[in-house]
Amino acid sequence: MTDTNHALGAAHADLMGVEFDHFNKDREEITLRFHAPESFITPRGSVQGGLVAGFLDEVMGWAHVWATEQEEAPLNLEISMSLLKPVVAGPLIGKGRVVRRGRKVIFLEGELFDTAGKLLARSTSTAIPTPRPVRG
Amino acid sequence: MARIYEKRRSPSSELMGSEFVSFDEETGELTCRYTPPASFASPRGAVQGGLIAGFLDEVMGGALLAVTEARSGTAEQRLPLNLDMNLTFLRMVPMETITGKGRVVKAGKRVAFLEGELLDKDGNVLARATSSAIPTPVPGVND
Repeated sequence: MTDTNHALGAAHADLMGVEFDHFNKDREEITLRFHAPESFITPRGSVQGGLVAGFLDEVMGWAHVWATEQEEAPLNLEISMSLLKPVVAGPLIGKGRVVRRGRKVIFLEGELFDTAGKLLARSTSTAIPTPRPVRG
Repeated sequence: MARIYEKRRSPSSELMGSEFVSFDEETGELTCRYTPPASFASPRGAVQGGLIAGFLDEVMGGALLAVTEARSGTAEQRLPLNLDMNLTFLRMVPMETITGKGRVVKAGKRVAFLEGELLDKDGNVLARATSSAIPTPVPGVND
């Protein structure tokens, strides 16, 4: 496995169909592609609101991992999100950014778009930086 | 016949192994059990932070269903369409059966305020959530 498809090995990343798109070092901003699975759907026909946070956590977390040259990963203390439009099963684009990276606390933000570029959900997170967990 | 909040209502509740435990009409608190699927595991060996919100949304939504049904009957049941959700992560959520508790803080006509928490088998609080939502009729039920 290469560093650029890093996420593909973790169970939760497989579930959400995570693919790396690119990382902007200056902005500390990562772009990932997702595929929302049918198993996330509620009787409304869209992704369950809570599970939307799965995608947002992923983009915010990888922004931090890439900003630290793959050394660190965030341990979330808090996530807040706004759900602007229903998220349907299928392809999605996520953008995650480091807002501030301190030694003890980091602040992240994330956005989720449909393939036409319409904003579906956004989030912020407060987290503790930890060494990146090693997969067993 | 089981009430709608006692059932697995969707692919998402199937995925999370949702099981009804109890509903307290007095306090408006719904208790459910969830079993995280293996696919929710992060490299830390616990449930990925964002996906924890899945259980909390499920139990908060069930609480609104149960409370609106108890108050006004089946035809007036409401399911929340979430506008926002705030999550606090107190402990790692292990890959084992957990308990969720959901409560309705206020069920207005246009907006509902909900809260929920997840507990491990020893009763430790793992995560908490609050949500603001639009109460809507249950899709498919009154059609």
